[in-house]
Amino acid sequence: MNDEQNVSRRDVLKRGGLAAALTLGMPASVARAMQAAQDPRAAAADAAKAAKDAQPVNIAWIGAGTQGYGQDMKSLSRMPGVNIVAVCDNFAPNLERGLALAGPNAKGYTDYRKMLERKDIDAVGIATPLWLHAGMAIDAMSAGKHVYCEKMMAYTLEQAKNMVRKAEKTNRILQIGHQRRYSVDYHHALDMVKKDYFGQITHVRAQWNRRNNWRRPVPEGNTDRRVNWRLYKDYSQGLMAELGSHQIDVANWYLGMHPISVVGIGGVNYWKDGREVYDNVQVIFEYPNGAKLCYQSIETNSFDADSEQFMGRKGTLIMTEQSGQKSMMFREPGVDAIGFEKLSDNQTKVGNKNAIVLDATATTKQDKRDKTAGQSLGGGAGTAGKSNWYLALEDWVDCIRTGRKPFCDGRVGMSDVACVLAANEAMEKGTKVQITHDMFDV
Amino acid sequence: MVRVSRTAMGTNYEALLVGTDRDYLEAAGHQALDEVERLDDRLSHYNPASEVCDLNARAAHEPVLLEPGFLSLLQRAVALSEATGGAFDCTAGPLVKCWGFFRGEGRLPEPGEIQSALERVGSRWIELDGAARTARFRREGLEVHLGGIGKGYAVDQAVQILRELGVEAALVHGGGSTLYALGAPPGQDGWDVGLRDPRDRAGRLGVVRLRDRALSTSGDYEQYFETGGRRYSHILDPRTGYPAEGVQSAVVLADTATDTDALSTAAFVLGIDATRELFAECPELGAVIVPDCGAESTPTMAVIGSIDWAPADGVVEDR
Repeated sequence: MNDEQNVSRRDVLKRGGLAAALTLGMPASVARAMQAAQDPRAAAADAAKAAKDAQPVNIAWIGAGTQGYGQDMKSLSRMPGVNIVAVCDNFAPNLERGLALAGPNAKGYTDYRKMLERKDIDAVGIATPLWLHAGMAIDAMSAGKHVYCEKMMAYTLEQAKNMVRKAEKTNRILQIGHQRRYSVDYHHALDMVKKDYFGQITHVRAQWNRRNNWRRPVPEGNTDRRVNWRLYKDYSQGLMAELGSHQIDVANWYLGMHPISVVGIGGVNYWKDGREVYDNVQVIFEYPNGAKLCYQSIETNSFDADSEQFMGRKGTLIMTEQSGQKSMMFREPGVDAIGFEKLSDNQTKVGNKNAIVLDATATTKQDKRDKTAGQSLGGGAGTAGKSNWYLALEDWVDCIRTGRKPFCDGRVGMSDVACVLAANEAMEKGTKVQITHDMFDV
Repeated sequence: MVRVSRTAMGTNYEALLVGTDRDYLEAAGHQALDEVERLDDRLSHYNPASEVCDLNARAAHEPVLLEPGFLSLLQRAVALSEATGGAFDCTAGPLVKCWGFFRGEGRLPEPGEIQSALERVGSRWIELDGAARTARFRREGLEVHLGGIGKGYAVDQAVQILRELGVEAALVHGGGSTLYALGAPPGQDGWDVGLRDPRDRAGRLGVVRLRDRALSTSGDYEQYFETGGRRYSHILDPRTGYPAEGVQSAVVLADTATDTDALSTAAFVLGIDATRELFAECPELGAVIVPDCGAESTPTMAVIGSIDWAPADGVVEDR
């Protein structure tokens, strides 16, 4: 490990240079959250000032479903300077609850095109079924609006490319909802990967295992294909897109490269209820340096739920967003202390292995511990009351205000689409599919 | 009957659903419990990214903009605190910490510690602005903890989702101590719920019948420590700073689980007479309180307000 690097990064953050933080390759919202963990009082004062000076941003939201209403709109509703001025949904109960959340000044729409005619709308959020993303996003940017589009970015690679082209031509902010890219924990851990704490990462295992049929109840007034669009190929790219896309993005991000090929097997083998997309997928991606990403998502057994495991020559890093679970680090037997042990005093046993719980506030605690006996603060990132969804949207709004380029932009989303669709193709055809450079060219 | 469960807020949530379409009920149950999990993330002070932590970190310095649902919950918590004269208080966190009940087993603090904790307790220091949707703390060190009301709120929100999905009969509970009975199983007037005898894990005080009604229990058996021959319950009296005494268990019935969750704590703290007085004005409330009369005598429990209830054999009740 390199203590100098560690100190310099800490100093950069301490000095409060947001611009400097950005050169470290993280979204401003995440940099701010990290600062808040180091100096809550100064951060609170900064936040109060920023809230007062915040230039109002008028947002319209399309799709008030589980993600759109339950996470995105709720986050926006408590963001200073943000007005949700319009909500669009073609299912009446969702539209109603969206409007109730947005407040009395918001107007409801069932046709998003009508909504886009409004001149007072600065930006549009999209949390609709996958097949609708591209059309809505492109129409919104054509109408001069900035766009936040939930993941996966688009149903086809060509659609994703068209979204990028449109964003670059119209000079609009296009951000894709891969919220792990806005996680303090994920940025903190990436820093450790870059410092080679885990050695060369040769294998990545990632999975999202659940024990349910992925079918939602269809309330009166709605239809199965609308509620359960995820299960039908006309609208959905299945488990690889709805779950895998998050984690493949993390693997590509951490490894700093795209895969070059993929093989896989999937099927409808348990929930034979008329669904068209696989109820289990298992794929292996190959990277240019020989590293592999082994990914699975199943719906019969929830053991180990969702996580990404990075297996390096010196140790293993397990990242998770799973509720109530901590991300953890393990050192390989026979390997000398490699640095990350110092970065958290929160240790635990997993089976017969010693685990160190990831703690993004650890640098501060290390300072304290040098003087007195330290005590664990209980782990978890000092994200100062902000979920990853919140931080992602906060940064999007910040990009709109400042004209800054989003951290998870259309090109990131598009690369992810290319990998996911290649995996689906490999499973469909039962062959190895090459992932070529031109797939990532706009 | 379909049964789905989930671990959240440090306890086990469960939904029992009755109807003809099992697949539909199971899917509805999962959707309801998904919401409980989301609320856990947003309302738990153990989750540093929660809205509660955001509020606690900033509200002493500036007005904090709140999500409308969170604002309503906070308004209700403050109102219930006022209504109970502070017997329930969502700012009692510093006391809980000082008595070591947050993560640990409990400990006897020095009187000075209690006094200093008490200075940071009091919902009256929370200033809510409904129009601006903001909260502000008028006192440094104040902390909101929704442990005493959040479980009930989560149950209510889960039930609301089941209602929207057209489920007609269901029982949703969090850890067995807070529940809501939606409708009734076919051929019955309501859900029969057994009330636990606070001094006998297997024993029952009786059975209460519930329909579209919530129930919560607060008992001194849930968490306590003993020292110097005395039993110190984890339920603290936010007015005095000491563990509440004189009650073994308090069961409260009301229209929402949000209310019963908070009011069962309040009833435990207030005791029989004060609860009777408080509930007299509210016909929709009911309570069953077992006093703590020491080991020698069999306690006579108080049944207060409107309860459809059948006591177990040998249970002495006083209406």
